[in-house]
Amino acid sequence: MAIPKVCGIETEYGIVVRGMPDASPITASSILVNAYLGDRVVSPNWDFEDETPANDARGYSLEDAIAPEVETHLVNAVLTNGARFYVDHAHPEVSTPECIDALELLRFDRAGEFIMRRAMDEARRVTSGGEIVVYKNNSDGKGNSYGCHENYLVARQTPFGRLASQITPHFITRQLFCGAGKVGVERHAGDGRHVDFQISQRADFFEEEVGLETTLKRPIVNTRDEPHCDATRYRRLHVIVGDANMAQVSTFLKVATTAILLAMIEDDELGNDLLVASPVRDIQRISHDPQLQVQVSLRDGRKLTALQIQWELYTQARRYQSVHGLDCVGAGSGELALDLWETILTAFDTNDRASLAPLVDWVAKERILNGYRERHNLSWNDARLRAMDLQYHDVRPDKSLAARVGLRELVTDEAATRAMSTPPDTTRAYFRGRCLEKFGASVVSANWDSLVFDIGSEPLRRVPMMEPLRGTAAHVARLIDESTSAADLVRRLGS
Amino acid sequence: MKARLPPILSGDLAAERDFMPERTHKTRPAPQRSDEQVAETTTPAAHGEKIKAELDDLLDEIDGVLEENAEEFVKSYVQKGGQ
Repeated sequence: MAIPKVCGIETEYGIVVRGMPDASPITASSILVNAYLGDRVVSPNWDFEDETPANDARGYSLEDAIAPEVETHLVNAVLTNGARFYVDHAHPEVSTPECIDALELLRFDRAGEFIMRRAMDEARRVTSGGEIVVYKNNSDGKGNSYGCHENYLVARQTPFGRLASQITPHFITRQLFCGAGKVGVERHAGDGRHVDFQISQRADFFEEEVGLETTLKRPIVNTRDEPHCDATRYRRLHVIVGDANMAQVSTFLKVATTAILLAMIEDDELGNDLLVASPVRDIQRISHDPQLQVQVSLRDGRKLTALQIQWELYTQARRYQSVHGLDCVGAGSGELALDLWETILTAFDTNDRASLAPLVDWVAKERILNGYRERHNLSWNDARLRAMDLQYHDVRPDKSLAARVGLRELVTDEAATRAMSTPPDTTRAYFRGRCLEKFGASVVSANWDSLVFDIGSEPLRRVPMMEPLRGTAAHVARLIDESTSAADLVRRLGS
Repeated sequence: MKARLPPILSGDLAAERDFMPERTHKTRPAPQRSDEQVAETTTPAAHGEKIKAELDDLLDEIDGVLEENAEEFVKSYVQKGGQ
């Protein structure tokens, strides 16, 4: 049986200081995060003890692989909702808490946008000069990309090679419903096509099928093996191939469909009949073809369009659901995902872009770009179209174009606002968030799989959290409610 | 604009989990597809007019919030050091 698909999203936001193009993005990011933290109850220290980003899931290290460096000197905080808010490289980044299913994760992804909004408001109050503005996108249009990474809990016993090859057809074709859209092409347009507008922000930046890197020679399947939990039982599949989405349906389906297919792979129910011959070439060919005509060569000699591959994956997922159910991805999330998945593929079949625009980012973006282009008789090279492409992802409500195009919402603003400060009930993030909220002054440092408490005269106490589904409200709400101090809590945990 | 809603879950989920309560559940059989390219649907004129009017309104609104100096904005948007 597939294990529960605990999941999370890390989003690096683009950042600028308006009117000050030479401002340091690292400084701006630090100001932004610190402005938000203010005097909020947070853990100011991230515990790096268990960070091993250079470990490779394939079990060996490539000699020429460049291990990602962990920057420990920059701002790095844990929030009472169980999330991490920090400066990563030259970007502000929010990592959601661990969530039990895609709907819950969507709520925390949206909360991440709200955190950024409030951070910008706070930064405006404490700084003079240029305004700090963030964008939830993945490319500057000049060959620089930054990531929106998803994470999924998978069983250690599932052979990694099989997992990597069987999930790849989805990773190159799911952009049909979760591509964020982009004007033009960056880096190598391997297919030599002229590209005015493409489906994905990220596709241009992938150069390998499988690998460890995240900043150079990015691979479609990333092999970072850093589970942040019991490594004998679990992996954390670190997915770097996706776009950051403004459309809630895109975010939701990106995660939910991937979780379902990973569960199928764990149960060995997906099979090898959709393996793609040239995934790196084809992720770009698919992205460069908003008319969805490109055919992908499979290893068995068939040629299918991305839409046909998605129909095959969908049909197999329906069959899996009828046999196994979808409890491992959350039955409600799973059902909703299958229905939306089918709705969207059906709309693509009839090229019904009007009904797709409220659901899918790239279609929504293409619609306003085409409308604007025709209204003003612009060529695709016009800076105004590139500006609209960027501004679609502006997180400020008064400037965001995504906020204006009628995107369908699946979570309420009220629920997302609550998720800015309150953790999910159903994972260990509950324990992390509640401990910070109630005993924050005694939490010396925190990370995904432990909390370190200073309980006064005794040595620091590290509380390990190696099981993502322990430390939930059902397990520890009463314990935390009844504890009168961090020392009391640690004593009760030990007894 | 409001598109037709996809068939999705009803009831409990929205109440318990604060998701948008605008859903009705409907199970559809797996679609029958042929390998032929599906022809682009012809939109009735009235429907087409409505879509165009909605887009026009949206473009008017967008015009009001667009960054003023597009060229400078695009030029200065440079992001280095990402994953």
